[in-house]
Amino acid sequence: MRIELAAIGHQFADQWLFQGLSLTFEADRLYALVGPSGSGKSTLLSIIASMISPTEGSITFERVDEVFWVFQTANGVPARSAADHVALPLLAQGMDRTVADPIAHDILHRFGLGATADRPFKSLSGGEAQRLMLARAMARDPQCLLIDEPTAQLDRTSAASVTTTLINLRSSSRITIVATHDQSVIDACDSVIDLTPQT
Amino acid sequence: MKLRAIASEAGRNVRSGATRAVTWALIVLLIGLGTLLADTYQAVRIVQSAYAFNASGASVLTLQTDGTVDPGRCLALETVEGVESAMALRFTETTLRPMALPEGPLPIVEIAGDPVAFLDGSPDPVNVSGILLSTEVAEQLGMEGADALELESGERVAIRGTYPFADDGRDGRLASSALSVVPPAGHFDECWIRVWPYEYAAVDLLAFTADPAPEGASLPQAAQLNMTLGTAPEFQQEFSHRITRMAAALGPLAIALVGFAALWARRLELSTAMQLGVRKRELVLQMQLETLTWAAPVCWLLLAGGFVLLNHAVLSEDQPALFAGLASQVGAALICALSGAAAGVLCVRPTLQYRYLKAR
Ligand SMILES: Nc1ncnc2c1ncn2[C@@H]1O[C@H](COP(=O)(O)OP(=O)(O)O)[C@@H](O)[C@H]1O
Ligand SMILES: [Mg+2]
Repeated sequence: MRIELAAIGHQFADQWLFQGLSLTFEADRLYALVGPSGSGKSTLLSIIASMISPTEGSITFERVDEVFWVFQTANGVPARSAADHVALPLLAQGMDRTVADPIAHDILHRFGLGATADRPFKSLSGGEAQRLMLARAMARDPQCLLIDEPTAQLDRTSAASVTTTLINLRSSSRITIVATHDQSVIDACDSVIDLTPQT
Repeated sequence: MKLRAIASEAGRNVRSGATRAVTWALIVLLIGLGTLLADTYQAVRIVQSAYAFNASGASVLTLQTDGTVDPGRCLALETVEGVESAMALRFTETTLRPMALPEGPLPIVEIAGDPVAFLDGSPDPVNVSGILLSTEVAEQLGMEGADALELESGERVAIRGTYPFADDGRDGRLASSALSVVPPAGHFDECWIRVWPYEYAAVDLLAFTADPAPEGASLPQAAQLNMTLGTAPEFQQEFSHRITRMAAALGPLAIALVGFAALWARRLELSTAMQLGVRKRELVLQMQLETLTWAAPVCWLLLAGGFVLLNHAVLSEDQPALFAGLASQVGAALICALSGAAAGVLCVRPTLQYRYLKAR
């Protein structure tokens, strides 16, 4: 399970965000994608997610069928419970509700959200909502997980709670890449990829 | 996704309010009332005015002669399409002097044909012979429901029925007469036909019922029994050109748009579900179920409303057709709501959320 970027470059208008970028991502590792705002972190994630194709260079996936994206803004169904959010990807895999619900509760506990299981999404705090997005991604269990600035819109305490849950996402069957400029998130990762432009 | 899981997701969305079932139901109910039921109401009013026209005797065309009507030919007009019934009338000098009537004698009018059917009267449950009186005269004599009329002479004449003959501007000669049914033999003075659906041009038929008038006799005169509502009512036109008919056709289309909007408003949620592994066809099915929970009760309400409206309007023979018309429109509305909802889901792509949520 690998993703290889070979001499990737991307250009918007006549500005190159990065050029000649060669990287290898492997399973069971947490990658931090760092750099100031506007340095191209989200753009690189979009390239890995095949949402856009790079201006130059190539990207190859080895035994990676699914790239799943967790956005900076938590998006849930306001009226549905936290547990329902986590259960949906399990139901989509063909599980019965009676099987999916206990697993969903289990995942919520691991993400410190046990107490919120039956609360509607709209009642969750920003940190809880963002952790719920990570818990849901966990239930989806994709081979590649892209997380874009999970703590950017949170206060310090909420951000810390999200950071501690990130560690849960590491898996021997998953490549995890987090775009961030939050030092505590960076500290939690195994490798750091810096997109800061060299001038 | 298992079928039971799809149904369970639909149920939780409806119960939690994620479907916004009540909101969409109210919107569709308003559209349904404003288009489908408004059209049924309008149709009922037009049909009612047609019934009132018929009930006033305006659909009865008469031919008045100097005793040259051939009753056989007159009654034969019943077989002509558009002629509901026919009868021949002979005005006699004979009168009945009821004991109770201070206003004077009742002239006897001899009728060939079935005056009870022609005048939409009520037959006496027992008597098959005797005279017919107008409801108004029977009331004046204080003998509604009586089966015999007592005469000044002490004789009793059986009453075989009564018929409504209101003083509403119609030719009033049968208002205070006694009708007596006779065989269609000899000549009669007049031939009456009831034409429905109404067509004044049917007067031309009456000309064939009279034998040539003898030298010096006055020419046959055709007329309409009641002229107060005119000779050229435009029910058919009004019915087929009624403005609400177009509204009724547009109603289901508007409802299709609502079905679409109900899902398009949830595009982010749908797109996320797709990214989480729910297949498009599973989402279509789930959203059909959710749409049914609000669209079906509204359709049922519209049908019930139409049923009450039509029953209240007492339109005996046209009622089933009007109800069937409404039912097919309501059925179309339901199908439109479901199709709109399906289209709403099908227009959502799993990558849609990327556009909405990717921070720049
Ligand atoms: N679709 C686009 N069209 C034009 N410019 C874009 C587009 N997307 C991003 N950019 C520009 O590319 C640069 C990098 O954006 P982004 O990848 O979002 O940076 P980051 O996520 O590191 O903050 C920014 O200057 C941004 O304005
Ligand atoms: Mg970004």
